[in-house]
Amino acid sequence: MTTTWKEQLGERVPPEWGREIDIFETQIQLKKQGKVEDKVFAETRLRRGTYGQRYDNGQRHDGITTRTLDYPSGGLLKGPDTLWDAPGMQRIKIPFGGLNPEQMEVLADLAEEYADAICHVTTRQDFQLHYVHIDDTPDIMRRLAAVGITTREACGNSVRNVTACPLAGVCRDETFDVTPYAQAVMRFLLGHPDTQDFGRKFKVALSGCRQHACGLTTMHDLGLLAVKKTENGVEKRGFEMTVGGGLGAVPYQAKLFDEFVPEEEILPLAQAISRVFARLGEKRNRARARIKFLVKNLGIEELKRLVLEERAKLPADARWTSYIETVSRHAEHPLKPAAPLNGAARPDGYDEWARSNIYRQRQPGYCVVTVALPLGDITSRQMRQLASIARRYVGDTVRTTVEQNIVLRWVREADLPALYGELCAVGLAAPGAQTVVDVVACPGTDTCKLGIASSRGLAGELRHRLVAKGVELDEAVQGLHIKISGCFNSCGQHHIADLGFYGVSRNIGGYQVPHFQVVLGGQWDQNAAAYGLAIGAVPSKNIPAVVDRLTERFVRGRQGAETFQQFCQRIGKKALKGILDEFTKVPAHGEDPSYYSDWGDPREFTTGDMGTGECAGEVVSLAEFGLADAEREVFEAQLLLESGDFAPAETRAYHAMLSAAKALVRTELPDVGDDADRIVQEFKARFVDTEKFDREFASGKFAQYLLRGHEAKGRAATAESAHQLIEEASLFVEAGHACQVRFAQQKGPAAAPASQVISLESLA
Amino acid sequence: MGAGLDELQRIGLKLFAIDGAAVRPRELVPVFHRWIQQRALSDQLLVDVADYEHVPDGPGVVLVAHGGNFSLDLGGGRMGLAYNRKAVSQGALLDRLSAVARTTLAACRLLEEDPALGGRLRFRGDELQVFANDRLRAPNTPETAAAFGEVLQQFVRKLYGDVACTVTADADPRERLGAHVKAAQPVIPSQLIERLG
Repeated sequence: MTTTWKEQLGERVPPEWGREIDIFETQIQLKKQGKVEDKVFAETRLRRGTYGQRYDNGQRHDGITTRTLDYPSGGLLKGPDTLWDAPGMQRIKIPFGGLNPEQMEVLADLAEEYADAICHVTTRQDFQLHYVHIDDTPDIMRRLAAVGITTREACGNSVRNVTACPLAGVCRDETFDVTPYAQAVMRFLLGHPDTQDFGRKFKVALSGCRQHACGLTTMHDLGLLAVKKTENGVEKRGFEMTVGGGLGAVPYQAKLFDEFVPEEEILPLAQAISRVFARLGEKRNRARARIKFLVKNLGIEELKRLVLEERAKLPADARWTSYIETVSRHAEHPLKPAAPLNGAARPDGYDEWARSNIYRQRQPGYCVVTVALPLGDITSRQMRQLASIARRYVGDTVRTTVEQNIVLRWVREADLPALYGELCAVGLAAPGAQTVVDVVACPGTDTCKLGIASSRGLAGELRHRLVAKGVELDEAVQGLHIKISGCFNSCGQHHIADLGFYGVSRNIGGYQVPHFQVVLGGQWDQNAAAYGLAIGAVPSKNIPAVVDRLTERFVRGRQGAETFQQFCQRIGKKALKGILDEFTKVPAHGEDPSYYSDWGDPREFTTGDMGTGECAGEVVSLAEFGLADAEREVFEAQLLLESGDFAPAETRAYHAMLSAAKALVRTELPDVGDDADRIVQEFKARFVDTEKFDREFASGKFAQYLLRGHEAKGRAATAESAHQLIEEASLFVEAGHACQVRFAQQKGPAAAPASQVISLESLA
Repeated sequence: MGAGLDELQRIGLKLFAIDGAAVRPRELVPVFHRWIQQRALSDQLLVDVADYEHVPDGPGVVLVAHGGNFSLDLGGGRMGLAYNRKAVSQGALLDRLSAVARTTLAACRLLEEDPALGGRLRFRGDELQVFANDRLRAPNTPETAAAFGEVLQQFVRKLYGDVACTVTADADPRERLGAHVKAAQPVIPSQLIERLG
């Protein structure tokens, strides 16, 4: 009888991924038993994409007062101030947005069974499921792993989803297809030891061209833009590499690291950059811990010098270049032979849809169709139906986009009317993709702990009004981009929109009033080449009128083919501010209370529900992680002993000590590797002979447990010997913890555990 | 009955609105927020409200609760109140189905009586949809459908007594296991509440 997803899926889950998920499930059990520290568990789950969500501290303002949510699990926590039973969010990484129908069906099923039947596409090509219980997350991960998706490092201080242009490979003017390179970067950096000790997240994007928005490389920590170079008559592929871009509260344009990095060098350089970032990046003040601040502090030239120095020291790795031979073989195959439209009958609404939602591929006879998702949302049923449509029209060539849509690539032109009909039948044929009605928004106050104002509420309202105007909208307005964030952190990418908004709050007559800062003049094209600036804050309820007024002024005052960005530059900030001024007034509460609640939320507005964001993750040192792993292995050894597996129990207990020793050695020698002899030798030299390990404990006796265990590896095990070794391993790991705490104290506040570190973001 | 069904906890039930055009789903947003304020469903820990009216045929407006989510659901192009149980409940499957029905009917009654809706939203008692929201314990296969159908027949007898009913399984194997129940004569939701006890 099948009773668990683990048994049901069996070997369909890749062994390494299955083991990682088993470990995570064990960590959940240990946390429930109180054996894992809150912050260590928080960072552990975050690195598996399992986030907290608004109100997860058990407090919610209901419009009158703040009420306690009395969950059955009581005070059990899944992170600092984060209740176990509180609904959370599961982020699912989709590298370069690439999806196949089977994966879409699994996403649909997961949203239906564990969330609210909505799959939400993010601005970084991920999916998010909301209102998920943490107890369900291991099964969610197994079901995803069985179709080739991992949630590992979807959050936390790690390399996040590697994004790329959704048109890569079919774009009419790309330099070359960056897809296989995005795959290689993702595979190489995922779980790489050199990417595990960052003070903050690290985002990578790849673009095939310079002129379009493409992969938005200039706003990424590491941007790779495809370029070619001819040397001695031979054309070489490479990338323009940029480092230190990022949005957030203070946006930074990435700096040019090198105008041509040959393809064989992108992985070692990414590794070297990771090492330098891990070593020199800020860890204590998380508000300044992204690599953009390191670039600012050091200057790009000094950073480059350090990276190249690190590159020269890296031990060679076959993976740096082994992927290159697969690049030339990489190809997507159309499901059907090309066929032109040839004057076929077009259903009602088709022409309007085709104007905005179809892109002609460079391969004749084929198109990319954009399925525009309102606010990035698609229901489970729609997702399943879209999977079925994809299977019949395009096969495995589906991608998500950073504009929160889904594209079907390799649709042959002759199929377009029929495809449109099928999309209509499932409510997925909305026109206006990538136009002004295709408003982008982060989750904001709907679910995000950091949200100040309702970005989705405003986005929904704007979309509704703009769609109603439809064809009345001037063509120049139709091409604008609107992007909305619930706070200054810019998850809605408001800096790179024509019309950007981010949520703020104002106190008026003793009441809090939701406002949005109006950010104008950002540039979407040329990989987000320019960031807009905040002009002023306007009450949330007046933003639709602001959009109307600004677009009217643009249509009336536009000179020639001037873009909105050029228009804003020409008329200047003073004039722009003048346009906003009449919308900044807030009527008294008694006169119009509607200003005192937000779009889509009738409660009286408050910022009292804001919590501490988890995007920043918890700063947990590698040593702490290693010791937590060792503790988990001791627990697993106990389970093996309980089931009578004495030899495996001993092996696991010995390995727990080895993990703890490695964790400590890595604080001094990051490259110690996984060889047991080397770890033990280094541990002895650095921690035993120097009496640094357990001098307070039994005159160094605990260290001997590992040394003896190492010598006795493979001996015949009995229940008694296994029991004894587990006891010893437990003491050894405890001594490791004590040692790590002592070192942290000796090093001072910068190395103190994260719980003692004040985050400026939490104060904000 | 299969062992998987024995352990089935994620059960859903939907009652259909008599007139799906009588209210806009978004009208439910302030209603559900007020329910949270007033703890209107005393046996439920109500958490938050999510508005998905912008998605066609979707969950409409969701009232997120710890035990399960309520939604003014628009799935299948028909408005109704759906309740999707998430948390573990005690008893045999028939008891769990009955408990889900009681919770759904209680929420329907509250909506019917809600002053903000002025009696515009009313539900049919003669038709409902039941689904098993767990593809491990209740995969949508003919075998599970048959086993589930047996329990469903008992549930329907409990709910409708002597009134003749048809139970039709949802055929699409990609969708979750579910069935549509239709009574041969008019029944109002309050009668169902009485029968469930």
